[in-house]
Amino acid sequence: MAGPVIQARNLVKKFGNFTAVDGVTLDIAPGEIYGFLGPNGAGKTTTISMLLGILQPTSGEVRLFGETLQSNPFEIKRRIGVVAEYLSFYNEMTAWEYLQFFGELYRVENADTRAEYLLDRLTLWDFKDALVGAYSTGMKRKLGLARALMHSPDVLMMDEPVSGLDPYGIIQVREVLEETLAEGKTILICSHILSEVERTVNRVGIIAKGRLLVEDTMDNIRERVGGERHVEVEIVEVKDGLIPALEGLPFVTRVHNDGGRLSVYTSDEQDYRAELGRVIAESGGIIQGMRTVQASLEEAFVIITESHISRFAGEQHGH
Amino acid sequence: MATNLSSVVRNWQHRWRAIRTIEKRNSQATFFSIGIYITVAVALFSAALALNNTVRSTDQNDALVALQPLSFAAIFLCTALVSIYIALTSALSASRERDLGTLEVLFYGPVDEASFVLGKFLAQVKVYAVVSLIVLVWTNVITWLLNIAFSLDTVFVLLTSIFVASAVIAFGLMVAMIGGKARSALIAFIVTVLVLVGLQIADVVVTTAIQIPENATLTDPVLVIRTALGVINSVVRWISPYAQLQLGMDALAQGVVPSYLFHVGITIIQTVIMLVISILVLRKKGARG
Repeated sequence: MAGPVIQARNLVKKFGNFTAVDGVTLDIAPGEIYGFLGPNGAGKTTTISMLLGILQPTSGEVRLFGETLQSNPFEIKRRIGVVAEYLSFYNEMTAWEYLQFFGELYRVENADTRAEYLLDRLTLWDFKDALVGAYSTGMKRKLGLARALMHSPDVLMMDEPVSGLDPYGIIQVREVLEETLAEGKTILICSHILSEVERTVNRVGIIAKGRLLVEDTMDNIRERVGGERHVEVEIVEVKDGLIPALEGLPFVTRVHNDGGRLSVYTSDEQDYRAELGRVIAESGGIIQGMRTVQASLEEAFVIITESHISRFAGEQHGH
Repeated sequence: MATNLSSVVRNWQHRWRAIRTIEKRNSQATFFSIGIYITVAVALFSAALALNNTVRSTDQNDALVALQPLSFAAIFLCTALVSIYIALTSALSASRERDLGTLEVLFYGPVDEASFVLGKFLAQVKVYAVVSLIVLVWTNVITWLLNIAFSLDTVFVLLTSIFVASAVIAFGLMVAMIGGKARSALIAFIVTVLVLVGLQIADVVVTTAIQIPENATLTDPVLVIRTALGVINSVVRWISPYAQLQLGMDALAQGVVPSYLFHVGITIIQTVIMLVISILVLRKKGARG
């Protein structure tokens, strides 16, 4: 098996006394699509900036394609495409000129054909002669993706790639990512739109306060917060004594009542629907619907980050 | 050792490609802007006025022969105005790239600090080279119209003024890299150029136009100012590319070609030093400044 294409070892970045990234270690395999998640200010962009050599780490090491960036900067960078969070463009150029410029910079053969394909694929072809400065946020986001893909990079790093896009644009970007992945490329995607990441990624790393809290597959991450999976029950009328009766069951951790819609959180993965139905019926409740809800990435993200953040706070308080 | 050398050569090959691409984009941007044409028009008009003054004073003095009918002052004006504009353009363009984040986007790809600085530098040198050809054509036309002698020294001065312009452009880039935002870089550049050129003009004015009284003592204000300006200028001439151009043209007017070449050499050294400083400062400060 080929080694990781992106490898970071104990990356630390300090700005004065503030530690933005604290010992992050990453290994991303070829052909993998990796979601790098975290709340605002968690250290995602700082980590990506260190991977790209834009920021120098305070300590730690980065290897791309098995080499350090310093050893072979030009050839390594020609194999990477980057979609930045911030929309920085040459506004006085047309989209066509912009892609041609980057095509020349990256020495893309058949740059015309490639630019035409990407502009068409991202529905920007009709605006190819318009100045980039006149583009909307969503159009600029798509043009940024076209630029990043112009040289068919082996690794695509994307920071908030769907921010500012309408639903149609999000679908287009997702399709382009699927095509890129099908070509065997590696994708690192940072996003706070978790539902989008959930649809796309193989593996997830969750970072908060500069520390990588969890790194695992989507299924395993759900497994970790499995205790928080719940059964959602719709009841015609919630009788007195129903909620205490449910909370009294040994496998129930908590019950949340949202106007007749009960969320019953269970301690393990077993199917308790029959038992819950019996208890509800005994207390005179009429069930309209019942389903098991698996923890979404969003829930997993909140649970994991909140528990770690409170732990960090405890550690700091202890010190 | 051989691997290291081949790696250095390979990196410079990549760097050179990036330099050429950046140079092409930036020189095109300058050629497609109206500013350069306005500057050249103003420079040529000012040079025409300077030339007119020379011809009139020659005529009024009933001189039959003028040593330099096509005054070097006219060429100095052209060089100074055009190179200041071009250097200002390169300083603004470089600092705006950092402000807007486009420099960071370039650094995601096969561009490093040296390729960025040298690309920007060569773009403006190319623009200046084209402008100096226009000035050369203009001098030919004007000498033909006024029926005055066209000296080959003029061609020599114009061609070698590229080195002076290079130093000014490198200076603009250095200011942009050291300065933070585009506006502060712009102010720093204008102030420094005004100080350098102002000192040079002040020195000439004080030395030639203001008479020192015969009974003046060492504490006479005019003498003190003249001495102070002389001392300052003796230092500044090693820093200012304009001082080198002036000294070079003086040497040429006196027919001392080696001295002229010496001053051209100094501007080349100034250029190299300022470019190296620009690259090192950009490396230290990074794409985000």
